[in-house]
Amino acid sequence: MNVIKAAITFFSILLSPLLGFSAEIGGKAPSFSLKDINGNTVTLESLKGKVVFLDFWATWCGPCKEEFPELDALYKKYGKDGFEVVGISVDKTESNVAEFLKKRPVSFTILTNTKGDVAETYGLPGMPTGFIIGKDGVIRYRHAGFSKAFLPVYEKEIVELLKRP
Amino acid sequence: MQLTTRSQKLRLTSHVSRLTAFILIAHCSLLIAEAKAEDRFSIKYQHYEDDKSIYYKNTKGVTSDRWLVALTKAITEKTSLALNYGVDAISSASWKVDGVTSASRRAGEEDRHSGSLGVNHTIGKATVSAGMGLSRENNYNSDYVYASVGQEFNKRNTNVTLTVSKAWDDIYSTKIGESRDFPRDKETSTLALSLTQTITPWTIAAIGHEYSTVDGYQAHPENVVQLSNGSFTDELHPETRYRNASVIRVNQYLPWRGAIHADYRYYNDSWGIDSNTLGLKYYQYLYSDLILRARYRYYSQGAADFYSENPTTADRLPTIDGKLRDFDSELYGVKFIYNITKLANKMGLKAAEKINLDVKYDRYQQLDGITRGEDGLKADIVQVGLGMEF
Amino acid sequence: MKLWLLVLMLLSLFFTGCATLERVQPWEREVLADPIMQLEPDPQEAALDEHIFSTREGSAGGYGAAGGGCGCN
Repeated sequence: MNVIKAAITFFSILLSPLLGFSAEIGGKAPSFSLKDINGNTVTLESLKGKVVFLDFWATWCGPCKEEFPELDALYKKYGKDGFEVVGISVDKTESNVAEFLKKRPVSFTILTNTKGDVAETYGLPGMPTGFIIGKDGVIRYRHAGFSKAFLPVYEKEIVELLKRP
Repeated sequence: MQLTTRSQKLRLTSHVSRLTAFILIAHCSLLIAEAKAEDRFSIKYQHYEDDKSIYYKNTKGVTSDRWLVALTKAITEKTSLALNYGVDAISSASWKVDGVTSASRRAGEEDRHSGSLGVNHTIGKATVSAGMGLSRENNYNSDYVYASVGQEFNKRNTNVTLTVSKAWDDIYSTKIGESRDFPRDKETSTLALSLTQTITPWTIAAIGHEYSTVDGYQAHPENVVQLSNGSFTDELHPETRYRNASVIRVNQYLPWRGAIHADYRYYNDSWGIDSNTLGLKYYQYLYSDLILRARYRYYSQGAADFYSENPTTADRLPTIDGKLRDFDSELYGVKFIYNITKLANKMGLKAAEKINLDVKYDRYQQLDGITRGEDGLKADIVQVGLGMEF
Repeated sequence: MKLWLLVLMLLSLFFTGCATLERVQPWEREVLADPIMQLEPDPQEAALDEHIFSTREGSAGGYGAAGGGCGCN
């Protein structure tokens, strides 16, 4: 009996991480309400009707920082067409984010999630992870990591989603 | 350190000119090439001084000055090159055999130059590296190659790496009137496997094992053994050695911006030596730009099967290599790592994203001498380094 | 009966993609990225140290510093 109890405990511990939630492509983007570095609250709902590139990043993540100027360029190019970039930082210390942005400012919205709960809800496979959300609030594409080779792909996907009603 | 002699002044000048040359070369190469994230440049200087020979009793120790330059440069998004160059200037007292100086050119100063070039490539979650290196001094040449493959699993929580390397050494004798056949050679083949695993967001651990076989001449051409009957004979070591080292290490973060690193190694080889090494390091941010590290290392070794403090004619493998005896050693050290990026920016050096200056002092002591009851070797080690990230 | 259960447990650990070994999620790696948490924060220092120890002691290796030999004293 003890062996069976041990086995059940083992398998439930083993399988429990698999029961975790993670945002699926084709599913609705989980809502959030986060503050930017100036203390203003931004919600996902407020971005409905726009194509959103939701980028989870951190100041301690090299590829995340490399991607930033590229996202800024995309935002500057398509912002007027209804494209938004929202960078959610998972840094535990907000002052690190403020200090980083002073040295390398960007024109898109930066929110902080020091608790990491929004990142957990979205279920990131890696850092950075970018979710491209359509005008209807549905996640259409997801990209983990960063490589310069991703940029034409991002652009193609953004343009395609902007064309849709 | 008083620069009283002309040779000492010349040495300092050559050190300074070498340092200037290295910095200029690195700065220029980085201006020409487009700097990508994670390009690194590091330069280190180490001064080592001990108080006695590891071979001969009642003999002075060694002083060495070493420079090491390392450069890592990304050449594509997934490929980087690693270049290393080192110069060692070693000065030691002349070899002595109980009052009789074995007239050897080993006495005085010698320079050793070393260099290596490696390439690193990532393919998805795997990393492949390969490289080669060499070392040259007037009586010892070494050439080596290495290759390694590493793979990440479990969302980068686990890493397994396999490394193989092979070295070919040529050993010359500087003994005047040498009648034995030199150069002799030595080949070392090494296989190492390591596993790294994160345990919590504040804990990481690694285990590893390294196995190597050494074939060829493994004694020292200038070492002369005085036997108990007063006669002299050449040092003789086995021509094969199988070596094993197993290491476990754990790094634990402490909530006040500190970290403790602990490592343990068990080593044993076919010469009968086995040893235990315990390393402890404590890191602490004193403020955001200054890190203090305190270090302790304890080492305990059992003698090689053929080692004898007083070799007799019956000893098949006479040796005076104190590295093979029974002894313990301790090391205490303190290091400061100072982030001087802001300071450098103010002085106009803005190319680097991060610049660190490190200074350390280690005190190393062997607790038992070559002769039982005598003090062991004591050494002072000072190291200064500059590291840049681009 | 105990042996097959043990084997099954080991195999399932392997085939579930070792989910239990995913101890740290990607967004939780801040501390592990800190320089003071690296397994080898200063590889050049480690190489210089290893050289000292291998020329004064009878053991060598295990810590990962690749390299060749020398006639160092």
